[in-house]
Parts: sequence; C-alpha cells; structure tokens
Amino acid sequence: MNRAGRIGIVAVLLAALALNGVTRVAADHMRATNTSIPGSQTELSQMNSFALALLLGGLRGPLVMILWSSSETQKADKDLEDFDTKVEWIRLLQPEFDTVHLFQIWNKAYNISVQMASLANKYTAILDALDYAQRVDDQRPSNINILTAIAQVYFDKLGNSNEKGYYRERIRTESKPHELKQKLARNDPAWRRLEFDPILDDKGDILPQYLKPVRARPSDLPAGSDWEDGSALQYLKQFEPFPYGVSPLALAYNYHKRAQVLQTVDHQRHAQLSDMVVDSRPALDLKGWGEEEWERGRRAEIRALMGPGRTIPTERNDLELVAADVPANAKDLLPEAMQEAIYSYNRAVQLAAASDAEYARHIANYTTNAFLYQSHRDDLKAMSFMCAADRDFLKALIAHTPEERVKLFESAAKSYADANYQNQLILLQYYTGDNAAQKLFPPGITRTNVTKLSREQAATVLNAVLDDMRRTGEGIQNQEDMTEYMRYMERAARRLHTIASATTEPAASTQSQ
Amino acid sequence: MSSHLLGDFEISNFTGAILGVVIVVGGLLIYGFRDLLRFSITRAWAISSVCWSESIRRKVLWITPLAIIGVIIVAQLQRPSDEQDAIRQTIKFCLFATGLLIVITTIILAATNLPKEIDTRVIYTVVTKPTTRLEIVIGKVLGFARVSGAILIIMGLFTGLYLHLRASFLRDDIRQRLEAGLVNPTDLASYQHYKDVGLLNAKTIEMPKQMEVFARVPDPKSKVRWFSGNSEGEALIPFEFKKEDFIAPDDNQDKTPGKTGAVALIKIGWDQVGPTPEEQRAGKLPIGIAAPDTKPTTRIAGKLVRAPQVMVRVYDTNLNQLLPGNAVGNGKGVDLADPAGITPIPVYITPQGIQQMLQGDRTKIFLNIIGPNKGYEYSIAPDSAVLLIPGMSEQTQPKVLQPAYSNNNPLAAMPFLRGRYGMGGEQLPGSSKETGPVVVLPFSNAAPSGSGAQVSFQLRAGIENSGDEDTEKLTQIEAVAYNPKSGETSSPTKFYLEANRQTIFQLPRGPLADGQFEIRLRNLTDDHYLILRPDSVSMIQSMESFDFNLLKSLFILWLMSILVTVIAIFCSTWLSWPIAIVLTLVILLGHWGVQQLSDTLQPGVGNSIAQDLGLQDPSKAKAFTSSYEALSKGLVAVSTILPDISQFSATEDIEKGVAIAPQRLFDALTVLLGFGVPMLALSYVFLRNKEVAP
Repeated sequence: MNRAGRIGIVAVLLAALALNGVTRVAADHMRATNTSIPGSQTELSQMNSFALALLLGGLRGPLVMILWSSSETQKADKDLEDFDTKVEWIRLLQPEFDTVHLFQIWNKAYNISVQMASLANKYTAILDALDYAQRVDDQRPSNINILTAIAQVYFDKLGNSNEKGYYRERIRTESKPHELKQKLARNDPAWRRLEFDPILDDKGDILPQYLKPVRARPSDLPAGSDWEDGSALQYLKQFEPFPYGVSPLALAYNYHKRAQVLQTVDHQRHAQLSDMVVDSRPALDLKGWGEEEWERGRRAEIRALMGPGRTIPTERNDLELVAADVPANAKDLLPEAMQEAIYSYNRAVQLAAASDAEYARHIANYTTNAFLYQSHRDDLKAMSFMCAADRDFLKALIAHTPEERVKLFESAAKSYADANYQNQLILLQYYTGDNAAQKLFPPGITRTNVTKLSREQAATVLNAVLDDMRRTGEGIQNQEDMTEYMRYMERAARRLHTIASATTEPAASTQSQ
Repeated sequence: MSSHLLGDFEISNFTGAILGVVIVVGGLLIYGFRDLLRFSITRAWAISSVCWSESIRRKVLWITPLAIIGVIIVAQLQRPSDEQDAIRQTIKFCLFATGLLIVITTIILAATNLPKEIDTRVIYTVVTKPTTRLEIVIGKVLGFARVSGAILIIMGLFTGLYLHLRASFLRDDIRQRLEAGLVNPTDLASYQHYKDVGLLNAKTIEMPKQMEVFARVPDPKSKVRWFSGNSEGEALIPFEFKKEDFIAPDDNQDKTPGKTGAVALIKIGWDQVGPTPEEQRAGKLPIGIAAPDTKPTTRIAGKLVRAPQVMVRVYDTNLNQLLPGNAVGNGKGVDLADPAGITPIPVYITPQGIQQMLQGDRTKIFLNIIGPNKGYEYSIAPDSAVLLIPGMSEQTQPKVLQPAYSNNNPLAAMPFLRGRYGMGGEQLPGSSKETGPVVVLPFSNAAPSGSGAQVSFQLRAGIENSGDEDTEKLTQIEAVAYNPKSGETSSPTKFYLEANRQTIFQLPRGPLADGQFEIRLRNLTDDHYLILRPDSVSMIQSMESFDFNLLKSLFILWLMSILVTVIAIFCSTWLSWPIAIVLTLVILLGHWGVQQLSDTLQPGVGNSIAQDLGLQDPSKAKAFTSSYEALSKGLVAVSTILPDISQFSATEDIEKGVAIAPQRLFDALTVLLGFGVPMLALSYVFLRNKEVAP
C-alpha cells in the first residue's frame, strides 16, 4: 500500500474515533438531561469497568450476553458456584444501566436467598444484595433508583418477610459494635459477607463515616428545605442514640427518605416507580418502624414483668393481654428488660409523630392520597396514645417516690383513655357497616365525622354497633381486624382498672430500680 | 442428541477413520515414500530450532507476563461462595488464560510462518538445502510445539505458585475461624475437611450404584422392606414379558393378547406410626362432635379401624406412568384389610390397559405401589406382587407372571423403593424420632485407599421446607456406614447441611474397608425434606497430588496446541495467512458448533421451519424441507470428520478438585493422532506440490 493510502486509513480511523467520542458525550448529556440522575462522581471508582473494557476490546457486549444467560441458567439449576462472580462482572460491564442493577439487587435478595435453607445463609445472601447495591451506590452516588432498591431490601425483605423476626434481630445486634467473623481483608478476592457491619459506636450513635456529607448544599436552596447531602445514614442522625441497635425498617426509612428528597429537590425520577410512590415511602417506613418498636416493647414488657421463663407468644396480637393484668405492686421486675420496654414504647411515640408529619407532607403534595392514608394516621394516633400509656405505666412501677408514681399513673391513665377513645373511633369509622351507621349513629353523625362524638357517646354507640353486628351478622367479615382493636381496648381497660386500684390504695408500694 | 443423529455420527466417525488411514497411507506411504525413507530427525529438529529461535526473537514469551497480569486482575473481581469456590474460580481463570494464550499464539505463529517465509523468500534457504518437505512440515510442528510447551511451562509455574499461595492463605483463615468458633454450622464439616487436607486437591471419586428410600432401616435378617405413607414413598416391582404371556390360557381362537386384561395380586402390610389426619382433626374437635370421615371399616384384633389404602399404577422403564389411572384398579385406592400383608388383594388391569401396555416393542414394566395415607408405613417383600392373566372362563386357572428380580444382582433382587419424586430428585422426609425414613446408597468395589481412620464423603442435596420459619432451624443429617457382609455398622456422624452446597463428612473406615458397603442417611429435622439423587453422595476414594493433576491438565493443553499447530500449518500450505487463520478456527470449532446446533439439525425440524415460514404451497414446502434436511445431514457429516476439541477437557476435573483420569489423556491423544497425522500428511502433500522457490 502506498503512503497516501496509509495516511487516508489513519485519518479515517482518527475521524471515527473522534466521532465516537462526540456521540458518546452527546448520549451521556442527553441521558443526564432526561433522567436528572448523576452518573459516576468519581473516575477512579470506574477503574474496574474501564480495565475490563480495555482487556476485552470489542467483546464487552457478547461477554455480557453470555454472562446473563449463563448466570440465569445457573440460578435455575440451583448451582450458585461463581454465580456472584458473574453478576459482579455484569455490574462492571454494564455500570451505567440502573435497571440492570435494580434487577440484580432484587435477584440476589429474593431469588438467590430463597435457595438457601438456613436462615443465616439466607440472611447473608440478602446482605450480599445490599453489598452489590452499595458498590453501585459508590459508583453512582445519590441515585434515586439505587437508594430506593436498597430501601426496598431493608423494608420488604429484612423488615417484613416471613423470616423478619430473625433478620430484624440480627441487623439490630450486628449494627452495634462487635467483633467481625470475617477475618479476610475486604479487598481479598475470597472475602465474602458473613454479617452486617457495625454502624453504631459504643454510645449507640451512628459512626461518623456514615454521616459525612459528600454533596455541598446549594447556596440558593431556601433555608429549611430538605437537602440530600450524600451521607449514607443522613436521616437516622435525628433518632440517635440506638442503644438496642438499628432496625432494618429504620434503615429503609433512611434510604427511602434520601430517595424522596432527591426526587423533590433534585427532581430525579425513578425508572420504575411513580413519583407518588417514592414520595409516600418514608411515612410508611416510619409507621412500620414504630409498630416494630411497639411489638418489641410488648415482648420486653412480658420479660420484665413476668420473668424470663415466661413463654412469649410468636403472634403479634397474642402479646396484648399477656401482661395486661400485672398488679401495680409487682415485684422482681427485670430492670434491663424494663428499660428496654420503656425505651421501645417511647421510641414508638416518637416515630408515630415523625410518621404523621411525613404523611402530612406527602398528602400536601398528593392530595388524592389523603383518604387512603387517613386510616394509617388514625392508627398512628392510637398507637401513640397506647405506647405513651404503657411507657408511663412501666415508669410508674419503678418510680422512686410515691408522688412520681402517682403522677405517672395519672399520665398513663389519661393516655389509656385517649387510646381507647381513638380505637373506638377507628372501629366506628372504618369497620361499621353502612346500615348500622345509619341506624345507630346519633343524628348528624356519619362515619366521616365520628370525631364529633364525645367519649361517652363513642363508647355507647360502639356497644350498640357490636350488638347489632352480633345480631344481624352485618360487617362480620371484619371480625378479625376488629378483634385486634378490641384487644387494645381490653388491655387499656385492664390497665385502667389496675391504676384505679393502685391510686386508691393509701400506701402504694414503690420499687426502686 | 437423538439416536438417529448419534448413529450418523458413529457411521461418520468410522468413515472419518477410513479417510484418515487412506490419507496417511496415500500421502506418506505411497506418495511420500521416498521422503519418508530419507526422513532425518536431526534435520527436522534443526528446522524446529529455527521456528523456536524466530519465535523467541519475536518476543513471543513476553506475552506470558501480560496473561499473568490479566489473570491476577480478573481474580480480584471474583465473588466466591466460599473458600473452595475461590480456589476453583482461580484455577478456572488460570487455565482458561493459559489455554487461550497458547491457542491464539500457536494459531498466529503457525498460520503466518510459511506464507511469510515464502513472501520474504526465507524459504529459499531451507528448500535449497537437502531437506525434504516432510522434514519441513514436521520440523515446524515440532518448533511450535516447543514454543507452546515453553508458554505452558511458564504459565504452569505461575498457576501452581499462585494457587499454592492463595490456598495456603485461605487455609490459614479457615483454621483461624474454626479455632475462634466463627464458622456457620452448615459449613463446619466441610471447613474441618479443608483445614485437614487443604483446598488444593485431586480426588478420585466413587459413586453409589443406586439409591433407595425406606421408611425404616432395612433388617438384614428379613426380606420385608418398608416405605412411607402420605405418598412420600413408593415401591416399584419389575415385570418382564412377551406379548404371548398376555394371551388368556383358554383362548384357543384368535389368541389376542390382553383380551381378558390382567390382575395384579398384591400383598402389602402396614403399620400405623402416627395419628392420621382424621385423628388429628378429631383431637381438636369439641367433646361430643365426631370428625366426619373416621368411620371404621375393618375389624383388626377385635377392634374396628379404618384401613389404609394403596394405589397401584403401571410405569414404563423410564418410570413414567404408562397407563391412565382408570385402567388400573379403576383409578381408586384399594383397602388393605390385613396389616400383616398376608392376604392377597386383586387389582384389575383392563384389557384396554394391557393393549396399551403391549404397544411397540415393550417387554418390561414396573408395577408402582404407593401409600397415600398419612400416619402409616407400608411393608413389601419380594413375593408381594404377581400378575395373573385370567382365562375366558371363570373355571380356568389363570397364568401367573412372576416379578423379574435378578438372581445375580442383589441390588435388583427385591422391590425397589424410592421417595416421592420431584424435579430435583427424591425426597427424604425429616424426623427427629429415633427411627425414621432412611436413604440407602450401596457402593461396590469401592475400597478406600490410604490408612486413615476416617474416610471422607461428599454430599450435595436440595432442601425443602415450609419457608416461613422465623427462627433458625438447620437441617441436620445423620450418616452411618454399614457393611452387609460383616454386619458391621459405624457410629453415626451428624452434621448440618445447606441446600445445594457441597458438604464433606467423615465416616469410620471399618465397615468400608472391603469396598462393599452401604451409606445410610437420615434427615433429623422435622418438616424439612432432603432432595437427593444417586449422584448426590460420593466417596473420596483417594487423593493425589494437585501438582501432578495440574501437570496432566497442562499436558492436555499441550496436545491441543500441537493439533492447532498442525491444522494451522496445513491451512497455511495452500492459503494466505489471514484466510488460514480463519479456516483453522473453523476446523477447530466446526464439530463443537454443530453439536451446539444439534436440536435444530434433528430430522423433521425442516417441516416445522417450513410451517414457521408460512409456506402454504406443498411443493415449495417439500422442496424447502428436503433441502433443509439434506443440508443438515451434510453439515452433521462434515462436522464428524472435524476434530472434537471437547476431548481436550483440561479444566473441568481439576476445577472440581477431581483427579484427571488417564482416559482423558488417552481421548486427547486419540483425537490428536486421529486428526493430526492425516492433516500432517496432507500438509506435506500440499507443500510438496507448492512452488515455493524457483
């Protein structure tokens, strides 16, 4: 070939290379404009991906196709040796596709974990899904898709699956400072996840590295506006300390909240979920977390009041009445369990308020959801009263002075009465049939304005509704749900009776801690 | 692959062998006889040295450090499931890189060598010397084999050192974690093994001959065996027959087989071992209210009880249900009145069922007996079933067809019992009681080597549970070795298992020593089901050196590189080097590629493709189909005379920690000689006829 020909070929190659660069930049720009989702923030974090692309030349696409099909075949064959390696390579080869990561996070957390028989191994498989998500998050920080995926794993899988009792306890325990089982260095190729990393210090506060902001707040952002600062656990700081570890539902809230703020302030859009769903999740997470604390409080209370040998029912609803009749002068209370129960009830009260505020914010943005979430808010109110009452009741049992004891009992009695009233309203509003409401509610009162009923009226009307239900069978399909509220009311009634007896006795005994 | 295609392959392999012999005889012994007589290994070696020197001068060996760096980088990106998997993946990366490196290097060197020498006229200096073309071809093959050998030595040394380093590091970590008690119970048995023998090994594996699932441990003094109720166990009884066997004994007219149907006469005993669902329900009902279906039907020992039932079905030799339910016993269960199983119970098989059974060349069936009732176990013995062929008249004595048990094979001398069968294998239900269902895996001629007190076994099985457990409930297995000859039973070994993950457990050598033994496994966890196949359990019969195994693996790669060299040189004798490279790849991958397409090359696929293409005109469709079938057949035929590179299986065994069998080396050598020598002869013929110098 002559010299001119060679120069021509070189020129064409260079032009093609330049054109490739221009089109890539244009594509990146277009993508960033459409999605408002930032790409990689650090060039170094993409080193692996570049290194692989360099090694593979033009074979990146075919290799990804082979890896996808072979990893899916392995999953179907339940052969998980080197499965994770293939998924990791897919991640490195397709770092810019969020939907790939969303699938693989879900794939690992659900499809792979379910193939394990032991809960411990299921748990580590789910943590492995979170590790995967974390690696993507490192490469693509503050990305609404990835943060939501992380939150969903915490909420749906670790916080609310059939095995939640095991998962919640392990996350709480391992979030506290502990000796790691894994002795290999994290960058060792054979390193694998065996447990959740500690995220708390000895005082129960979040470790500083999880609260370090990485995104500067824009100067033009109005004061008081939310801002996702990029720190991993930004929204848990307000709930410090965590003496009993961090709940997976708390972590779910943190990530959902970050995603919601990215949507609201940075105008990012989730690839698969609607804006309304993303916006509603923080409130739901806080409600779930509050209910978990409530249940933990119940269990700790049973241990504290009835001794460690007492069998604790596994079903949530069966916990209500176990320790409801404990007398006000109960002896031999377990101090640690008492403290834990008081902490949990108090935290539930705090979370009920926080969740309600989140619901209020969400409903302000999406008024169509106001009716849908009204029942959640009413439940939160009832939970808040009940937990405040239980907290004060337990505090009264260990009060140091008679005055303090009486004061706490009075406070508990007021909260129990409020809880009862709130539960009565819930039953009247949400579980009363139309015919019964028309027939039995006082004039001018409908299911939508039952709050106008006084306490005495509410109790009377509810009794009439229940009698009617027994007689006519109308609304009987709601019996199971109604029983749950009736149990709360039964518990409150028994506690009110205990308090009434205690406060009328002249020498109510006190018990020091 | 269908038997048709397989048959074609066999025919073509034979044709290929004849073709190879013809080429070698014609090309070397007849056409090149003079050159063969003049052949000098010294001259060939000298030519090979030129190839070697040229390759070294071109710094070919410098590519090995690059490959080593690539391996190290890729190894950092692995996410192993455990330490053994980390080593397995590292072996894979190392050997894959080594194989890829030598194949690419060899193809490029060998395919470009001759054309370049001709272009640059370097070949003049060789062909003008008293060297024959045969010596040139063989010399070049030798030269490039030396180059690939050198690459293999470098990569092999790196692989060995790197793996030993990694394995030693990981073994230390395992030791530390074991000492600190930081290992999951499900990993404990395997980790102990890794700590003792290391992560780099080459095992020789022995597999059990079959697998049976019993409701109780078989009593060696009795021929009675037990299978579980609740459809968790079943018995299979073989029957062999000729069509004439089913002609009614008094049919003197048209002698149509199956005219009177048949009767399966079964004797099945039973034992109640737990509450039945009716009893469970009755226990929960308020006093004075009876469960609806607890009405007793049978009087036993003076008491009226509800008898359990069995279902009888007919299976083919693949153990698939052969006859529809209503053809056997009217599709209903039969009551077992007699717990001792002495009273025979007839189960009628309809004439239509027998006709269907006799279709084709079928000469064997299995009578399947399954107990659907929960809370019962069922007993069966070799004499528990016969087939009767009734006469046309009720007075005629029926013909009796006995089960086809084997007198020579003790494993086939009894009804075969198996667990409930699913996609992944047979279920072994868990039971925390002292007795419970047991899997028995007989081994024969499997004497373990060495002299240690313990022998290692591998177990990989699925686990099914309800999936809604809120607290950790591990699946615990109990393994026992039993020697039927001596009656010696080992002490039980208990260990925890994870689903579809290999666990290594140990059993005392005593009962295993003569190689004729049974391994019995019990699942001790209630409500968990172990999913097993016969290959789920294997014995580590012996261990050889990993380094020696690596050497064998590298040797197979070297044989492959020689084959690649021969093909590349053959192509370069008559093609320009770029085309030679492409053709070399096509020849190497042709056989494998056609194997991948095997489903679409089946006879009859042409019809379905014609339909997919919407060809309505029958003549067009026929033309398309026949063309497609002819092309498929041609492709298959061509592929079978191409080398089967799957025979150079260098990595599969070593990755799994299994010793590479001598047969693997022999297979690779066979392909090299069977394909390489004729190609060498052709290369010589082509080169001799090529004008390379004036």
